[in-house]
Amino acid sequence: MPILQSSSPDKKKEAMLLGLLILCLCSLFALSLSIGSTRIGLKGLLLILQGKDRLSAAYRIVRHIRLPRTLAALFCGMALALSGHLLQKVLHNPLAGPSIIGVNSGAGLFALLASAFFPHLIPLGTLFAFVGALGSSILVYALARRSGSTRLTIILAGVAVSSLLGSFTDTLLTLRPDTQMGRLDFLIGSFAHVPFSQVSQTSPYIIGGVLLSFLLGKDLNILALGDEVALSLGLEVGRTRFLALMLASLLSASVVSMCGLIGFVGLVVPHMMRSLVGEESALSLPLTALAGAIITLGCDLVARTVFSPYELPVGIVLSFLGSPFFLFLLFKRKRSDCHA
Amino acid sequence: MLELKNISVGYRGREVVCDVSLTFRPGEITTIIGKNGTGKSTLLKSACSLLSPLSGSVVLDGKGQQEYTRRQWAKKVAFLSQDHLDSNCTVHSLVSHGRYPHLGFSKKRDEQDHLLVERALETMGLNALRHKSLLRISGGERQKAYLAMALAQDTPYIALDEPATYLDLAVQREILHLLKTLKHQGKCIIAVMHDLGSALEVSDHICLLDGGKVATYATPAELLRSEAIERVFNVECTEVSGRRGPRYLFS
Repeated sequence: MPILQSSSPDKKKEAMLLGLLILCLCSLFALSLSIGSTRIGLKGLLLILQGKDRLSAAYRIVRHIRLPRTLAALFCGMALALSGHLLQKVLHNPLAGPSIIGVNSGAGLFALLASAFFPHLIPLGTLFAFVGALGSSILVYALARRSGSTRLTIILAGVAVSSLLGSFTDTLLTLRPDTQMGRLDFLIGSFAHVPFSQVSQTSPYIIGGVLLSFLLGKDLNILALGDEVALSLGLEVGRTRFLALMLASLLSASVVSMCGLIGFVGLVVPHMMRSLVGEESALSLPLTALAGAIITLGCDLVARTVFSPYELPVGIVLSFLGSPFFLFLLFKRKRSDCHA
Repeated sequence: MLELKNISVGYRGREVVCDVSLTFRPGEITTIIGKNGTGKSTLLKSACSLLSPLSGSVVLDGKGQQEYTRRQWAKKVAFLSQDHLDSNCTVHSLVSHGRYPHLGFSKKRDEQDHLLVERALETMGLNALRHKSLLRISGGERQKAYLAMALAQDTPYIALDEPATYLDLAVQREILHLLKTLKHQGKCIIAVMHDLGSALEVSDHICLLDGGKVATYATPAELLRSEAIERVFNVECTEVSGRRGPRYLFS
């Protein structure tokens, strides 16, 4: 049994990390429900979550304002982190992420188009966003592949496609300022005005996407070895890559249709997890999802509280923390490339 | 038996290999040699069904390549690629990936899988490096790790694209020795090689490619007699007697 012995310390560490993250998420969840202009104690919170005490103001605050917001943050964090993880693995590129390679902007444009021209189809907004996200991710991938798929071309193609789609979005917002989604929240991303109905509409897509991507984990590790090696090991490379792009698009499209264009979670969180548990941990996908939820929920809490009673859109807080991290990554990469 | 029947292979319609027919048999080492850019790797990749031929067919054990799923094919044919992505996984997990085609839906490895992985690590002398990241070991060690992965795949056919190029002499000898051992285990070895001396030393058959066509397919002795090497590479070949049989000098 030398194998089990030699790999067990790592497993133990990962299990501990998993426990720690779950604990962290639970406490943030409770905090997020209790903190605000009306503070609600733990006892009161438990009563409310059990469905008792329905007539109090506290119940209504939690049920209609804080719970949807908290759940939205949680789901979005998970979805974006996983989406980023999938994209980075599939495109063999550590700088890929839903907001960098055009997936988010594709989803955003299509969601906006839907709400501008087919307002009666708003409940199908997630599907529209999904089409946009999938379309732009495939476009970026095809462009990069045609021009010789180096790591740089895919980022450049993504930036170009992103800004093109972004200009369409801006044009639309200028010409039709009264679209339902035409608000600042959409462009920066915020959980403040997400109604419960929206959360319950979109969360099945996210939960489904999350579970399916867990199934893909092992295949993605094979794909990360490069197309040629993966093919020779019997992986259906094309199919796996398409599936992963589709899942990544579904996840980020769900987020966009729920709370707008939120950046950087998808880029930053997979990196943090990789540096903690390595490239191929069996738990890396669940850990990434959890960490995404924690960071998004944490940033939302910050966004709500630092300037209270005013609040910042969470996208600002995330970008504030995420942009320096991205720069750090770029420079670190450059240095290690020089050494290689 | 792996047979190539009149295959032509190319990229975007441009033929790199044209109308090649070859047979690779179990218990033999066949090497493909030739100048740079004559389609050696392309030919090898199409033999491993990594590239589909523009025309002609690839037949493995009596069944056409199309009748195999990728996974079934990978249970029979392993391929050691020439260039790898710089993956940041450990040596042990890389070698374990060799078992991928044999895993079921749950992707759980059983005792047999673990045993084969251990044996592959042992054979390549990688036990001490098992927990090292691929990025933190030398080029030769990395090549050995990928070779160990191909061994763990435990296939009757093993194709290697320049297994010993850029490696120091000790590792080169080690790999050549390994090829002979595998051959004696009854495996079919197909290798693209740059070093003519090594190719002449280990091969049962040598396929000399020139301009995408088979210039000569022969045993090493016949090849030397035919003077095809001199013609294609524009060199002079001298046989010298070494301690373990003849060796060759090219000038």
